Amino acid sequence: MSDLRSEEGGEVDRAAEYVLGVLDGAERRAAERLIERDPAFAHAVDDWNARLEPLYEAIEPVAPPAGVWPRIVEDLARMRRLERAGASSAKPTGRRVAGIWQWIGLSGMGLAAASLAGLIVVAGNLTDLTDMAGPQPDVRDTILAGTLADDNGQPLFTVVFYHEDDHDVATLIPVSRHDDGGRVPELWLVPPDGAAPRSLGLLHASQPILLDIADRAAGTPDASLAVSLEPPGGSPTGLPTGPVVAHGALGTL
Amino acid sequence: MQPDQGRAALVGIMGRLAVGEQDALSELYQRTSAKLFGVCLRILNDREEAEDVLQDVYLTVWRRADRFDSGRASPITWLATIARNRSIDRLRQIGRRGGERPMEAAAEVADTGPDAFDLMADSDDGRRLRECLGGLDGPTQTSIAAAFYGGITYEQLAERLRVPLGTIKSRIRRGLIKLRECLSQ
Repeated sequence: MSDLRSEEGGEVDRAAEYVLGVLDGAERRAAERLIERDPAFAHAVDDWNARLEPLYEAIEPVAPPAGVWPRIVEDLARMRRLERAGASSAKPTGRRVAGIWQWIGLSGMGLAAASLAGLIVVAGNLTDLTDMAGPQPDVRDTILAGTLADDNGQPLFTVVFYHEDDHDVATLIPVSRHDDGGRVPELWLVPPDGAAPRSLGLLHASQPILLDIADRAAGTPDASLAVSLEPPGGSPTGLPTGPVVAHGALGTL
Repeated sequence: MQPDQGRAALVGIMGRLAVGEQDALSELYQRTSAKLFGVCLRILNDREEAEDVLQDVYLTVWRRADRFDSGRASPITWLATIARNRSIDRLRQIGRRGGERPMEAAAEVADTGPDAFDLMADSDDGRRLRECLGGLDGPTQTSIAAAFYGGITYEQLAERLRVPLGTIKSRIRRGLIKLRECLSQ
């Protein structure tokens, strides 16, 4: 929950502090992860946004310079070009590939564009793991894709990694239904050296999901990924606790 | 923040965005960019940074429009919240690079006192929030205003308002609890 005791002895409403904007960068990211994982906390944040909404009224509108909108249009056009490049299976490059999930939808992976409207964006930054990743090759212009399949080779998720701004983004699309018995699928990076798997975030069994990936080791060719079934909210231990239902590797498109 | 007909129009635009209609983004920009640029500028206090963030905000809105739930937030609040959050994130990045804003910004933050609250519209929600904020002591009002409009951390607030970190933390935390209680009555 959002209430805890502070060192000053007073009650701390973390959702209120997040909305007010007094948290530092790491605390903000922690709060944003909590928003994705804890519906009660997400609700508390919504409530605080509503409570403080009138404060925005005191901010005077300022017309932005005329150059901003053309730049937005350019960025959108770049996304569209990448969509087309993807559809003709050329290797797309470029830093802004934000519309990539659309061409996934268009390029015959079995999803109607309408179902992609249910796309969920998860701010699952795992900055505490970035230090472990070590120096990585520059993969910012590379789009990686793979299929995560069960032991019988039945694909369960299609995954696409690409670089956006200063971090990696992964789109996970469920391609077949499977019975998860009330548990939630969680995505793991499996290091090649036998080290412990590292969580990349929770997935949705029936909806495409977009994950922000801070773990630079994840977005590299031949990275090995696995999906386990975990209790709602994710593995309580930070390591996989449930059965591995799908696994696979990333490759270049 | 906007008249009701404005809200209904924005809800319609958000729906078209959620299904990927690009024209809707242009309409949304025409209706909301001045407000959102005002928000970015208020937090960042730097036109170039604010322009960059504004661009980013609309691309974020384009990608996340499907997450907008008109039952839980008004469109303009949802948009202003994204603009403010993105601006705060940028502010934290700038801070990390050591490119701290010049100290004249400090005076401006400290000046963002209760007067800012008088500018809130006379909507029911605005009046109630103003009353509840008015029930807090002066330093707490100033600190909450400086935090909201400055988008800065407890540490920076303490420095700029020249009070100890523990004081600013307990002052704001107590103020937020009181505010929540007052607004729930």
